[in-house]
Amino acid sequence: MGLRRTLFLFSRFLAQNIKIKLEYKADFFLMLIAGSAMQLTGLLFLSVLFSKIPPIQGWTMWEIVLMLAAIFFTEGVVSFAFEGTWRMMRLVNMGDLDRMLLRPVSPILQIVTYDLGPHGIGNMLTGAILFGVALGQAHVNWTLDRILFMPVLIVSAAAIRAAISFAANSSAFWLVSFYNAFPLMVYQMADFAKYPSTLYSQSIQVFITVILPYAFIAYIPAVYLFDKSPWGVLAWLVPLVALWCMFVARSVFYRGLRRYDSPGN
Amino acid sequence: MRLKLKKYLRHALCAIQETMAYRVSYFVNIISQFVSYLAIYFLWKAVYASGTVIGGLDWSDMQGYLLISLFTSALVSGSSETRVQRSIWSGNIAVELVRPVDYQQANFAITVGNGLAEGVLVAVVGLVFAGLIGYSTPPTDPLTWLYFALAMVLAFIIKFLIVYIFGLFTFWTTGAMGVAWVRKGLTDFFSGAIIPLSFFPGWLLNIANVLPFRGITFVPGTIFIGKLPQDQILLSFGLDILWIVVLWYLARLIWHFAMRKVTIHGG
Repeated sequence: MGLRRTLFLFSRFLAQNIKIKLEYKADFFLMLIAGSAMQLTGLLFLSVLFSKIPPIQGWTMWEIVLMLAAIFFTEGVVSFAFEGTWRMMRLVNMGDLDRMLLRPVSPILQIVTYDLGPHGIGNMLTGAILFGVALGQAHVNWTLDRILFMPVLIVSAAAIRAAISFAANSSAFWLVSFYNAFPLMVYQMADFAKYPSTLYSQSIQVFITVILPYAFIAYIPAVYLFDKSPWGVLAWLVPLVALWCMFVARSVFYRGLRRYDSPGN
Repeated sequence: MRLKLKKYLRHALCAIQETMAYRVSYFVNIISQFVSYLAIYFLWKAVYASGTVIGGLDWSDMQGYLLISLFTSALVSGSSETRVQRSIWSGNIAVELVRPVDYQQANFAITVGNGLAEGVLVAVVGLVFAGLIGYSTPPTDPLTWLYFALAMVLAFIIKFLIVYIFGLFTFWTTGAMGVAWVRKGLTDFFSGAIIPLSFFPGWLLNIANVLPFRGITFVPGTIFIGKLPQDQILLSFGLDILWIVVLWYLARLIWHFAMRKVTIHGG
C-alpha cells in the first residue's frame, strides 16, 4: 500500500472518527476541556514553584514551560490521531482484531485510527498557545537552522511518543489479561520528559535516552534551542530516533501478531 | 445491624482477595505511580540543591513530606479510580442495582479492602525508597504518630468520596478517562501532592484551604514532618470531618439524580 493511499485513508478515518465523537457533544467538549484543565495545573505548579526559587540548574521557568508545552502538544497529537493504540488490549482480547486482519488495509493503520481522543484537541490547542507564549518569554537565539528544524523536531517528537505507546500496547499479545497496566506505566514514564534530564540520577538519564528515548521529545530539542550544553548536537538525531522507534514498534507489533490466535468471535 | 456490617465486611474481604488475584497489575500500577512521583522528587532535589530552607521547609522535611505524598497519591487509585466508571460503562451497574446493598457503602467497603492490600504494597515501596534516599528523620513523638494515623484515615475517606463522586459523573458522559484526569489534576494540585500548599501565594492558598483536597496530602504530610501546629491540626480535622459529611450526602444526591438518568444497554 503506497504512502499516498495510506495518508488518504488515514485522513478519512480521522474524519469519520470526528463525526462519531461529535454524536456525543457533551462528552466531546468535556474531554476537550479536561485535557486543557490538566495542563493548567502543571503550569500553575511551575509558576508557584518558580516564585519561590531561582532557576534550577540554569533553567528558567519559561524554558521549562516550553518543554512542558512541547509535551502537551505532542501528547495532544497522539491522543487525537492515534488514540486507537489504547484499544489494542480490547481488540486482541475480544477478537475484534480478526475483522481488521481480513481487510486489505494495514492493521496498524486500522488500529491507530480505531478511536479518537477529543482531549487531544484541547491538549494541542493549549500546548500550542503555551508554546508560543514560552517562546516569547524565554530567550532563543534564532538562527535559520533553528527555525527550519523546529517543525521537524515537533513532528519527530510526536512520532516517538506514538511509536512508544504503540509498542507498549502491543504487549497485549503477550500479557493476555483484561487489565494490563504495563502500557500505562510506559506512558507514565513520559513524566521524566517534563524536566531537564540532568536533574535525574545517571541511571534514569541513560534509561530515558537509550532505552525509552523520552529525552528526545522535549529535553534534547530544548537544549538545542536554548544552547544549554554541548548535547544540543544530539538534537540532529531526533528524526532518526523517531524512525528507529517506529521501526521497533512495527517489529514488536508483527512479532506479537504472529502469536495471535483469535478467541473466536 | 450485625448482618448489615457482615455484608460490607464480606465486600472488603473480597476486594482484598481480588487485589491478591491481580497482584501483577496492582504492582505495575504502583510502580507507575512511583515513576511519575520520581520525576517530581528529582525536581525537588535539584530545587533544594541551591537553597537550604524554602517556604519554611528544609530538604529533610521535604523528603518526609514527599514520602507521605507518594503514599496518599497511590491510595484509592488504580482499580478504585475506575470501578464506578467500569460498571456503568459495561452495564454491570444493573446487577449492582438489584443487589440488596447500598451501592455507596458497598463501594466504600470494597475501596477499604483494596486500600488495605494496596497500602501494604505502597508502604513497602515507600520504605525501600526512604532507605535508598537515606531519609532518617521520621517523627519520634507518639502523639504525632497518633495524629498522623488519624489524618491518614480521614485522607482515605475524603479521597474515596472524591473519586466516587467523579466516578458518578460517568452517568452523564460516555468516556471515563476525561473524568479521571480532571479528578487527578485537581487532587494532585490542591491536595499539595506535588507542591505543599504553604508555597501557594495568598489568594491561591485561600482557595485551597476551603477545598476538601487539602485533607488528602497536606494535612497528613505536614503533621508527619511536624510543621502543623496543634491547634491547626484539630482545626484541620474538624474541616476534614465536615467535608466528609458534606461529600457523603452530596454523593447521595448525585446518585439520586443519576438514577433518573441511567440507561443500561442490555446486560
